[in-house]
Amino acid sequence: MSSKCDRCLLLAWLAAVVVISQLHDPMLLGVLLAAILVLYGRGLPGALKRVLAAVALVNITVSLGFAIHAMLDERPWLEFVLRLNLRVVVLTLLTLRASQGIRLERALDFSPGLQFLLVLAQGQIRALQRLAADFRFGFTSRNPVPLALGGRMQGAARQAAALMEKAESHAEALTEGMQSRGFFDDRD
Amino acid sequence: MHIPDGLIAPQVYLAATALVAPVWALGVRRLTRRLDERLIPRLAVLTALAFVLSTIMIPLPGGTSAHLIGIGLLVIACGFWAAFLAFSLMLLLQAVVFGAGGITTLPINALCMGLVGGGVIALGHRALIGRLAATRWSMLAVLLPVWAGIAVAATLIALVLGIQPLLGQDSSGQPLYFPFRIAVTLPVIVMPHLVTGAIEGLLSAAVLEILPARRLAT
Amino acid sequence: MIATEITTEIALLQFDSVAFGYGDGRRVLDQVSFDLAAGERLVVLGANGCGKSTLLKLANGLLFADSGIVRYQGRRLDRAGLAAKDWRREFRASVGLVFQHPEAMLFNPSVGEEIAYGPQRLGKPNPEGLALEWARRLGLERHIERAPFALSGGEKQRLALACVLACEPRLLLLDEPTANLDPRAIGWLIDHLAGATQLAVMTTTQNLALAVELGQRALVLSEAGRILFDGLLEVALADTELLVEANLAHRHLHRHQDGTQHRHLHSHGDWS
Repeated sequence: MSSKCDRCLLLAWLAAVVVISQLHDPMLLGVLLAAILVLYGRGLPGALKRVLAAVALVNITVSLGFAIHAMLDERPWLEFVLRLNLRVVVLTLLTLRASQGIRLERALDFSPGLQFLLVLAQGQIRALQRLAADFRFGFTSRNPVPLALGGRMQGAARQAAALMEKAESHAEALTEGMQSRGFFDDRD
Repeated sequence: MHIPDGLIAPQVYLAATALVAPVWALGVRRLTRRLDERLIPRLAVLTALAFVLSTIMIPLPGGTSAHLIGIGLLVIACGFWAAFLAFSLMLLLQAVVFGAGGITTLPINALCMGLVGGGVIALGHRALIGRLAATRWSMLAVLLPVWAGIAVAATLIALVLGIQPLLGQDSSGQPLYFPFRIAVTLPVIVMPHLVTGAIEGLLSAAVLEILPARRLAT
Repeated sequence: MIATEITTEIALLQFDSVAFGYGDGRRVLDQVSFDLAAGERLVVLGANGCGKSTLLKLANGLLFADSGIVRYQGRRLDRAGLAAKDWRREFRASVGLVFQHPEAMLFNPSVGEEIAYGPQRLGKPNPEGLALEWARRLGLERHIERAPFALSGGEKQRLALACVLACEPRLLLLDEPTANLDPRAIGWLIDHLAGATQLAVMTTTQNLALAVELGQRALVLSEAGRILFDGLLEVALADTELLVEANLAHRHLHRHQDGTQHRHLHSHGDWS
């Protein structure tokens, strides 16, 4: 897919977000949700699970809180609860689908610096995530008995410190690597 | 703070975007002047660091835990502008690449937590470190600014959420967006952040104690 | 009296009493002196932390010696020398370093663009075609559109190789090149280097079995970053005391059933 495609998709998605966040009719939002579910394609069950896991806590808390308060005041609440939940799920599902289709670094390639930045950041996220996961496994394996608050705090602090140290050496290595390939030469 | 898309009115998040975009541009200009293109690899790593720090769970009393925000560590270890840009980029990647949503709240989080929260942390740390560095209270130069920064950011986010009911109601009087007013959002959002902010401040101080050399500083 | 014309060919790379430390008080390299001729194959052997990677970075102008001189084609490789834009460009085209951790040198959105990056910068014709050709040679053609960060460790290593080779350097610096490569890729690398006779190669490795495939000459570094040996690789490999001193081999205690015991020489890879 060309950069133009990614850019169009990105803009289309952003426009859709702005438009949908101004839709308040639960019926319309329901039809939109149905359309997204039908058109989603492969991976819908997993996507739904992920979306619901991400929004459940906030949505349930807000919906219940509002509904109970409204019921006590004998005010309507159903339309709001439907509106809120449908719109949140539609937007979150749409964003998830968009993220799978858009290559952000291609969409933003009008700025080469930004493009390199996004590519490098994604690679570094994977590298640091692996380290963070290893650290968590290591901490768990060395602490079979659950630790008290102080111990857990120390564990979290050491994990953060290890990540920051690694980030420092990665930054130096990346700079050397890019320098070695002449990346900074045209600008120096 | 992760607020799903669909709870905030476009007037608010578009206005926040208009406010924060020039600050991003200013940040890029300031850092590029200092680092030229070498900013790119450093900022990429800082963005990744911001992302992964936010996955660390900080322990809370009672056996629960909360996600580390990481803005305190980033600001104090790496400098305000780099931290602000890295934090903003992290929000963008979370929303668009990792599909975690939050694109409409990105400018609000960037403004409240990144700019204002980060600014409070930077200024507070600068004000205190000179006085406390060589004393046994040196950790307060980290704990207090981080705690204050997170508390101020949480307050602003609570205000943003709390004004949503004023931005429109339907014909039956039901709200169009987030339904609770400031009288509810302030205590509900700020109180827990006073606790998590304090613990994050303690943790940040502990981390920076282990990491005396600040090679990531920009 | 017959006038004799004396011709002296300038070595491609020269290290003259080079010392380097990372500023924490520890010397990583000390009194390192050697020359590398055009087309020569030099293997740098040494244990972890003896300064092998540092040596390559000094040769690539990424680090600068604390004392002593590094020269490339007779020109000093220091901050002042690399400040000259044209020469720096020529140097970067001529000397390619493949990092031990290839993530450090991959920053383009796709494999194809990554390989094309170097030739494009150098103004070579048809960089995309060149990229496709090198991708094919290194078995990466089906990944041509993929992001480098999405590749496996071995694929990234092959990609890093492709990126550097596509620029057709005169001097290739390989830092532990086989750490992530599978046997087929190692075989490809050895065959390619055997065919590229004009290419000088300096390889660092702890793998003595690989060393015999990559060079005839060896530089053995001590754990203190000094040169213990500079000569024929086969001589170095036959010198067990040298290998033990450089921590490239060890003797572990071998106990027999009859109660006798002796120390048995072992190293990474069986070079015998």
